Amino acid sequence: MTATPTPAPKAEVVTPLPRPSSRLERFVRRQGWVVGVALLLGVLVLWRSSQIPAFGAFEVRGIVAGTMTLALLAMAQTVIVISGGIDLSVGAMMVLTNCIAARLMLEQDLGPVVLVAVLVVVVAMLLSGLIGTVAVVSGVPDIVVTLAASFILAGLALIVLDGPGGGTHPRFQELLVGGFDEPLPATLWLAGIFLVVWVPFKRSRLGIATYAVGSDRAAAFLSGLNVGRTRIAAYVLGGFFSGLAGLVTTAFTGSGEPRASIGATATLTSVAAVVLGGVALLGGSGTLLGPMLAAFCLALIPALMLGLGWDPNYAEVARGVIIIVVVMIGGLLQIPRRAR
Amino acid sequence: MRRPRWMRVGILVAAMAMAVAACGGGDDDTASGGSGAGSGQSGNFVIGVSNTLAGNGWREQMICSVKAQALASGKVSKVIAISKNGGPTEQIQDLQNLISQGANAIIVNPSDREKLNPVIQQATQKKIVVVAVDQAVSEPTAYVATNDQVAYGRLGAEWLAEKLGGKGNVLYMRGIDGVPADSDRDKGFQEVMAANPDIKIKEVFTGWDFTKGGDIAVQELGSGNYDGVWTSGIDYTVVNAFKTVGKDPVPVVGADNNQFIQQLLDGSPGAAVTNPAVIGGVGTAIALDVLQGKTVKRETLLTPEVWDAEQDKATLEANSFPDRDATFSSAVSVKPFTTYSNEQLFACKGPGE
Repeated sequence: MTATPTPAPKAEVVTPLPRPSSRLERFVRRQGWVVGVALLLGVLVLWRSSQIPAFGAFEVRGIVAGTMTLALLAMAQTVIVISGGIDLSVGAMMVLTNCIAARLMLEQDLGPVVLVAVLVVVVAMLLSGLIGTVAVVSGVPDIVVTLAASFILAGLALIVLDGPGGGTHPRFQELLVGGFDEPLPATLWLAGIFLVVWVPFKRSRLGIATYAVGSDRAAAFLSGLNVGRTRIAAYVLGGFFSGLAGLVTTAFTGSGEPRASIGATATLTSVAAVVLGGVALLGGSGTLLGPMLAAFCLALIPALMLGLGWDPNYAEVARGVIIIVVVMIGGLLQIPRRAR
Repeated sequence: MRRPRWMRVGILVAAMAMAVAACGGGDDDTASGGSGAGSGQSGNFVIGVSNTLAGNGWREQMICSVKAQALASGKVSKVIAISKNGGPTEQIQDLQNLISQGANAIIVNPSDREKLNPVIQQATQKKIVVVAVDQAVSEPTAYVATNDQVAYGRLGAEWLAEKLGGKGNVLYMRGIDGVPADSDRDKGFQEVMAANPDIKIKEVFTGWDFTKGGDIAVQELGSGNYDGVWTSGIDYTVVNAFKTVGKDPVPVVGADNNQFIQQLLDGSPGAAVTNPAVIGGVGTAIALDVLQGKTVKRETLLTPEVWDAEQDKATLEANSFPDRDATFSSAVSVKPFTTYSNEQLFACKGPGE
C-alpha cells in the first residue's frame, strides 16, 4: 500500500525587502555621536562665555592652544584604537618628544628649530612604529606592550633632560600656538591636520584597511589584507600625532619637562576623550573628529568649575562622572540596536 | 522596540542638554557677581591665587593667609584660589583662567622662574597686578615677595656657631639638592662656617620629609657624636630622635613648625628661624597697595626672625598654637603687612565665603 503523504501546509515566511535608508538616516548613524559631542561642546563654550566678564580672542586662544596637546593625543589614541589596539604610551611619547625638542631647540635660530621639529616628529613615528611592531610580532597584547613602552619612554625623557629645562625660538612658539590674543594659529593647525592628514588617510586603501582590521582581524586577513602591516601603520600615524603633541607642549611652555606623571595623566585623558568621542574601544568604528571635540569638552571642565567657584580638584571627579554618564547613555541607546 | 535612529540621537542630545542646563542653573548668582567685579572699584577687587603644590600644609596656610588678608582689608569682594598639583604648563593655564575670570590681582607661587613670564606680561598688560610670593619670577612687571633664604641659612648658623663657641661637630640637615631655596640657605650657612673653621660639619639631605629626616637623625645621632644640629625646617622629628636613641638633646636649629615651638617651650635646647607661610598675606597686602595707586618697590625681602628657646620665651609662647597641626607655620603675622586676626587666618575663609 502506498500512502500518499499529505504535504504539510507551507508556513508563510516572508522576508521583507529592507527599506533603503535615507541620506539623513545614514548621516545620523555615522555622525550622530559626533554631532552630539559638538552640541555638548557648543553648550559648554556658551556656558563658559557667560561666566566671565569678557569672552574674546584671549579666552578663545587660551582654550584652543591649551587643549591642542590633548586634542592631538586623542587623535593618536583614536587611530590606534580604530585599528583594534590601544596605546598607553602616547603621553610618555609626548613627554619624550617635548624633552628632545626643548633640548635641541635651545638657543637655536628659527631654521634649525624647524628642522628639529621635523626630526622630532620622525623620531616619534619611528619609535611608535617600533612599539607597534613589537606588539604585532610578539603577539603580546597591545595594552601590555604599550604600558611597558611608556616606562621606557619616560625613562628616556629623563636621560634627555634630567630636570625642567631647554627652550625654543619665540617665533616657533608664535607659529604653533600663537600669541596670547591670537587664537588663529592653533585653530588652523588643528583643522589643517584634520583635513590634510586624516581625511585623505580615511579614504585611502590603508585607512579602509585600518577600519577593517580593527573591526575583525580574522575577516580582514581572509579578505587578503596584511593585518600586521596595517596595525603597524596605525601606530606610525599615532606616533605622528603624539610627536606633534610634544612639539605643541614645547611651544606652549617654551621648555621641556621630563616629569613622568604628566605623560601618565595625558594618556588616561586621551583614552577618556576617545571614549567620549564615540570611538568603540573594541576598534573598527568611530571618527577622528569626535575625540578631538571631546578633548575640548574635557579641557573646559576645570575652567567651568573655577567659574562656579568650586575647588578645581573636583574637576577630576566631574570629568570621570561625565565620561561614565555619557558612555552609559550611549550604551542604553545601543540596547535597542542589539535587540533587533 | 525599534525606534528610528535619529530619535535615539535626539534623546542623547536632549539628555546632555538637560544635564548641562541642570548644572548651569546654579551659577547664575556667581556669574553676575563675577561680571560686576571686573570693574575694579575699590572695595570690590577680585584676587586670584595660583599654587601648584596641593595638599602641602605650608602652602595651604599660604592660601589661607591670602584669604584672611583679603577679608581683613575690606577691599576685596572675592578670592579665587586655584590650588592643584602641576608644573609650569598647568600653571600657565591656571593663570590664563584667572585672567579670564576677571581677577584684579594675582598672587602666584611660581613653579618656575622664567616660564610664567609671558603670561604674567599678558596679565600686567591687562592692568592686573601680579605678585610672586615665596619664590621669585624674573619678569620685571611682577612684584616679588619672598622670605630671605640666604639670611635663613646665615642667621640659624650664626646662632648655632655662637651657642657652640665656634667649635664642635654639627649635623647639617639640608632639604633637596638643586632646589633654589636649598642652595640659597646653603650659601648663608657656608658663609658662617667659613668664619668658624673649628666647626666640623656632616652634610645630609632630608628631602624636606619629616619621616625621612627623623630616620636619618636616628642613624646619625645614634652612631656619631654631635654638638649641634642645623635643619632646613625638618626639626621636630629630629628632636624626637634624641629620645629614640636615648641621648641628651643638643641645640637644634629648626623652623617655625608648631611642634618644634612646643618642644622649645618644653625645654629642648635650640632656636626657631621663621619662614612664614603667611607670605601669601604679605603678597595680598602689596597687591592691594598697588591697586590703590600706592608706589611699592618691586621686591620685598622678609628677613627671618630667630627665636631662642631661652631668651625669647614670650615670643615663643605668643606663637604657640597647641590645637594646630605639627607642621603649622607658627609665624602667623608679618608686620606691617598683615592685618588679619589669628581667628581669621585659622578660619581660612575669604570674603563672601
